[in-house]
Amino acid sequence: MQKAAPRPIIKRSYLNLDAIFGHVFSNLTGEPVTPTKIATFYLLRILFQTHFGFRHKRAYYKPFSPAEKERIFHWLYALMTSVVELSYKDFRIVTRLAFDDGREVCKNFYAAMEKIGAGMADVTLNVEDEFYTNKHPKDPKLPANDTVHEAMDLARGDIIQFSSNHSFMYRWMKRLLAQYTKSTPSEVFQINAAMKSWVLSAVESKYHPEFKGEYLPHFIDCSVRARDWVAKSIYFIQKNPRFAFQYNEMLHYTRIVQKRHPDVVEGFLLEAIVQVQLKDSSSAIKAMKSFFELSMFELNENMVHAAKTHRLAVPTQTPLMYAPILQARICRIFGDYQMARLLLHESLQQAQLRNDEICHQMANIEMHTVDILGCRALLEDNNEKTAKHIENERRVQRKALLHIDDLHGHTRSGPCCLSSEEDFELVAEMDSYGKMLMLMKIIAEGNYKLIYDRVAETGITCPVGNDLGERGRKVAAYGAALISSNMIHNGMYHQAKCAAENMLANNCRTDETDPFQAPFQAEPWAIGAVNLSYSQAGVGNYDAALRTIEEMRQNYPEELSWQSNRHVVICAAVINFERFLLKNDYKACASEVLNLAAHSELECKLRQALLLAAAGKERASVEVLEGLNVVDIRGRIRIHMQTGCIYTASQEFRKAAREFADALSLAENTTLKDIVPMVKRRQATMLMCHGQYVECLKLLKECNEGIEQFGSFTEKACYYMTAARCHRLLGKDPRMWLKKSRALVRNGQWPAFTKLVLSEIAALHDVKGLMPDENRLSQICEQFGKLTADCPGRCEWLLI
Amino acid sequence: MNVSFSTPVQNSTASRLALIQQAAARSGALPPAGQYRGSKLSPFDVSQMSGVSISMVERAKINGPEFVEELEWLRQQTTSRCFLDAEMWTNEILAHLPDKWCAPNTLNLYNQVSELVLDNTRSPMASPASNSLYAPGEDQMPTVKRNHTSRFAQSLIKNKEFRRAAFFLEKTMNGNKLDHFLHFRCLFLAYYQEHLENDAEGIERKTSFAEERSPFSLLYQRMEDKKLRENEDVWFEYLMGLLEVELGLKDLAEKSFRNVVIREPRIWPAWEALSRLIADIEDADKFVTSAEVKSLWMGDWFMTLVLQRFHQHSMAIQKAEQLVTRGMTGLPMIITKIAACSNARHDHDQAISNFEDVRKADPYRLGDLHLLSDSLYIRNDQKKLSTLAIEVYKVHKFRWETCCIVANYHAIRRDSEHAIKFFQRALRLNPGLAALWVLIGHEFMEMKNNAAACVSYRRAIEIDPADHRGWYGLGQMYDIMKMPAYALFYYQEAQKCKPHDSRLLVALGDIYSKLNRIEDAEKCFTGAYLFGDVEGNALWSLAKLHERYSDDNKAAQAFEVFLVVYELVTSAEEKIIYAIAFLANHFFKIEDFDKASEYATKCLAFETLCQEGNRLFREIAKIQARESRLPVEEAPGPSNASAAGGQEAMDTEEAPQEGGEEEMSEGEDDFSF
Repeated sequence: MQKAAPRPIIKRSYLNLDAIFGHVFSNLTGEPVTPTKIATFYLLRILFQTHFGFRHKRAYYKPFSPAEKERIFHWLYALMTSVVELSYKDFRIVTRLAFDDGREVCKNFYAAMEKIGAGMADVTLNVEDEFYTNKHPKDPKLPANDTVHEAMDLARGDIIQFSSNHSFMYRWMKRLLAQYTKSTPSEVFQINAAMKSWVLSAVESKYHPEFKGEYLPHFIDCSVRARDWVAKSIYFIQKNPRFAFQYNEMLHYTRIVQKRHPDVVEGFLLEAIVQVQLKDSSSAIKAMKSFFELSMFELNENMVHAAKTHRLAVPTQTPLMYAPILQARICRIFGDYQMARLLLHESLQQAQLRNDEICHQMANIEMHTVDILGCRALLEDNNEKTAKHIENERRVQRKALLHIDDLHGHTRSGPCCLSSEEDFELVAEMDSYGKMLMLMKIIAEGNYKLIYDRVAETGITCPVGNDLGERGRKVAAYGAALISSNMIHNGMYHQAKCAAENMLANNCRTDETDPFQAPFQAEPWAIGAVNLSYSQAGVGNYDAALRTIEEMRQNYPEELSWQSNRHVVICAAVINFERFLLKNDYKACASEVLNLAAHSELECKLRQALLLAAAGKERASVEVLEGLNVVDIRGRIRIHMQTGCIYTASQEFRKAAREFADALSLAENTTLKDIVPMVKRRQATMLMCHGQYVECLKLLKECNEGIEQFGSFTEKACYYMTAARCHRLLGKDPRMWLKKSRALVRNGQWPAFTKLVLSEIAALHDVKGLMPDENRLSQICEQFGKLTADCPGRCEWLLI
Repeated sequence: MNVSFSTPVQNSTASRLALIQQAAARSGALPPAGQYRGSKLSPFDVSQMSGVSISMVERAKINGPEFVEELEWLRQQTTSRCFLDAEMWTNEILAHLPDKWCAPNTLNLYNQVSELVLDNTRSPMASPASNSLYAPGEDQMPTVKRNHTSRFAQSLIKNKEFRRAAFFLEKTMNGNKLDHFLHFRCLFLAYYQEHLENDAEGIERKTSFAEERSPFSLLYQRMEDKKLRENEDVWFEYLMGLLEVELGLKDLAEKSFRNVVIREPRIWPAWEALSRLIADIEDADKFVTSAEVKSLWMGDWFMTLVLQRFHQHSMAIQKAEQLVTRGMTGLPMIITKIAACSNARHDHDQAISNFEDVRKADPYRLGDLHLLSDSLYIRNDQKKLSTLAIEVYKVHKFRWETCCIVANYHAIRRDSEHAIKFFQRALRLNPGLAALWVLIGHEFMEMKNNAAACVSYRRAIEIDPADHRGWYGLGQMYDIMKMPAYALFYYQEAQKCKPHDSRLLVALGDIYSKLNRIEDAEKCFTGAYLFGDVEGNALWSLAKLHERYSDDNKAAQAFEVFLVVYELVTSAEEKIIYAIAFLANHFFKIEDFDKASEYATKCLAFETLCQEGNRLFREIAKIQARESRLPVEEAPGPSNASAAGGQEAMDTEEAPQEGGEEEMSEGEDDFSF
């Protein structure tokens, strides 16, 4: 069968977008042509000619040996990477130091410079072809097939090659030449005049690159460096803002980059990130939008197409998909969840239209983040609050995110998105985030089963191959922070301390000179530190906890990272509240509560209620608690417990019993380790106050193990006290419990409780008591008197 | 016109509805939307709509001879000082002067003109103060040679050889005050030209190694040192103002131009420069009406330009028309301006007719003609647009206006590629015009190249962030891509740039309604109607919004107002039919039978609604019959006796049939919805 003739390809010229948009990407290459760089170029050329010769003529001196080359390249590289402009005098000193080896390099260089200074020669930046070919052309005076040519080449051998074309020097030279080639005639004249005056002025270099009246520092004086600076700044802000510039300074330079380098659109991204740090959401959104819109005209990655058409850039619609995600993230950070959801919905639609798996997954994860975590610093269950919105949204629920059991291994099976070099790593990272979100959701619902080897397996690690952005460490830190928080959540203070210390100890600086080796100072690490502090406070070690907080205050100041700082604020408020409460300093407590108000209504109101009850306003206190509308399971149990305690203190035992029963029925449906013993302990205390000592003792026995394992310092104290008193009243020996109580408050964290213990001992040793001992009694009374002088007031242990 | 609204007004929305009703009453008095309102709108109404208040004092007719004298003075000055643009501007007005002002002039034209500037007197500088400006002992040229040199310098300026002119003027400037000024002016022009040429040379945004200060600042410093601002020649201060503009010292420049105008109100170029700098309309108005500025008419024209700059097109038209009524008839400058403003407020028929008037009087005048092509494009008048394009292309191929017209011509033929090429050419010739980027963006949208469109709109915003069209274009693009939440920001930005544009408000309202933000949407649609709904969509959208969210009462209110305003507009017939059908059914549903029958009667006027009207009549009659029977059977009372007797009798006879009708027509409720 005859093959059909190929269809003719009709070529027609189409719109040149490069030209329409002002050749944005022609700015990509180039190194600003300054006198120091011209001089360095001349030096390089002279060194090459000294080594190689000129055209077909061999060099007068023998070529540089590898050792010599190493030495001169060392100097050359130093000159090329210099961030300051040298004066001609300084340059001469350098050349004399470096190249005065009998090959007349210096003399030739000075001669060339002086020629320019005297106006006898103009600056010419070009280099012979032999620099690239490393081969002498044939002597034009000899016949082409003369054997002399071959003999000469053989005689020199490989040593003749001056530099590799992969070297930094080669690329530097190319960039300088690129800039010079595209200089306009007036710029060429400017360069000449500048070089001439540089040589003549000799002493001082007058060159300060400026752009529209703004001083242009070295790190942003060309497109390549500006892009690098922006990338580094973004990296440092996310990792450790101490190593980035100050935010205002950064904004200033970002604006210059935006104007001077239209191809560095990342400048707008940096601006958006800085604005988020400065809490200016509208400017952040504005900058973010500029970034995405300008990046719709991107550098063509298809070299063949670019070479054929002579066009550098192509339009792309990829930003359309990703732009809503980032805007939604800003909306989420600043609490506009409704808008965030709408935007993410749009992103999902775009991703589905374009079959982009990565974008789809990213938007899904962000959507779950909005639903589960929002912008809150504390994890509380908001499922019912957000359920309304979820109903209205038609979106694909990704299986990977539905349940933790849906985890699967990662295997690469072809590209999964339109264009990304690290698709595999990205997907792995996002899967990890997905898992973590599910963990968070289960934790918030109070159904998470602590199985530690399983946690270690889910990883909350990120199996990455090429870990460019330190993804593995970030994911691991998120996981560790989450797990340590959950330990605190379950009353596992010793384990949490261990986990948090582990996490913080692994975040140290390995190389003092390299800022890229700096430790992370981002939110997960702040949470780790906060958990350390909570775990210390949980076992009653308030001094250590305060020291940790103080350290955190220095590491995470608000002006550097408000996201991290809010954890510090909450932690300090919670711990100080407890500390002051134990010392009966209610005024200080009230001021600490105010710090919590902005972050969690539940935490704030619970503490306010406690203060009101301590001040004798039980009715008001219960009203505050009843007014709370909380979905979070742990929160609801805590409200019941607190209400029950208040009723116990005000001797309304029937109401208290009802509250505790409610709390228990809720607690039994959760997997929280500490909550059932806590409820039972309170029930026992209530029974004791009611005079049902036998039932009380039975309950105490039931919860003994739980309290010992998962009870906090105050919880244990209350337990021991209940047990001691109950034993005494039943005519049993309470000394074991009293001993434990005294040991617990040995460091004087809770003076009122110490007084309570003393009075309990006094009741034991009283003349009418179980074990009458007058000496012991007088000792105890003396101790009690001393303590009362230092710390008046009674112990409100029934409220706790 | 008083219109009564029967729909119950709820308390919470009373104020808003009152506003709607007010607006409806006002709109009733106006010509239908989208048609030219002429100057019948009172200044109060206009300022109410725009939120800006300026003085609109009716002034007396312009005194012809005085007017001519002012312009003659300016012509004289601009000619001798080589302000070519201003000279052309003056001469154009003089050439189109109304006939009655062309009588021989009785006033002594030149007796007020400061003698120092007269070209032919060439007086040496007499005052000791002026003499002290020059170093003693400089060569003095013979007078004749100096005059020749001066004239040579002037012709050099006219031929754009500014440096050369400055060189020659340096020789003569000592002996002649005019040459003294011209020397500085030449230097300014030379630097300006060089700046433009350098700017055009590079395609990138260059870094400069600022070894020396910009020549503008050196010249400015030199003039400051010589205290030329205080010089008796006021044009020096004007020149310094121009330098300040170039150096970015806008506040200083504004001050300088204000000063120039106060010192010599006849210098139009200073007015014009000030109109581009002044920060707000009310400030401008205060300046014009202040006692210090004594100007016959330039203040009003200045206000027109300022109003146009701040998008207050209706007021700008009023100001311009005031000048016409005061006697400045037939001036292309004014008619073009009115046309441009009409174009901006989408009164394209008016714009086209005005531009055509100008073209009859001055067929080769290109100023603002791109707006004519814009209006023709929007009116889809391919014939006229192609004639225009061919004519101007033949005469002025490389004017940016021509490129724009030709681009629009290609655009109307759906040849987007060529359109873009011509817009691009226009941009090369006039890079500061944001509107061109917007048009390029629109063309890319036509070509379905969204990414390129997006970058084009961004460029427009970059050039002028206060231009609403760039923001609007972007918003529209995302809206088309079905990303309303993402588009919201852009519509908001556009609306910030032009808060009183009904189209932007309607677009914003649409987005809000897509995002379920009903209250915001309602505010937008109501606002759009209050600010003079250009496209006539606001009320319709408002009604549909309420209908969609099942708030029939509010929907009915909006439909009622809609009918009052648009009942006679033929192009809105479909919507009117819908509104009438809705209202008739709605009132029937809420048992307001009077109103229901009123709208059912209106139904009968439309062929498609005839049946619906008849059905409703029957239903109403049936219910009324049933009601009138009830009191008789159950509880006879005086209140129910109001039903008309004859009608009742007729209806009772028909009753059994209607039961069947009711059953049959149950499904008809959905008709036409």
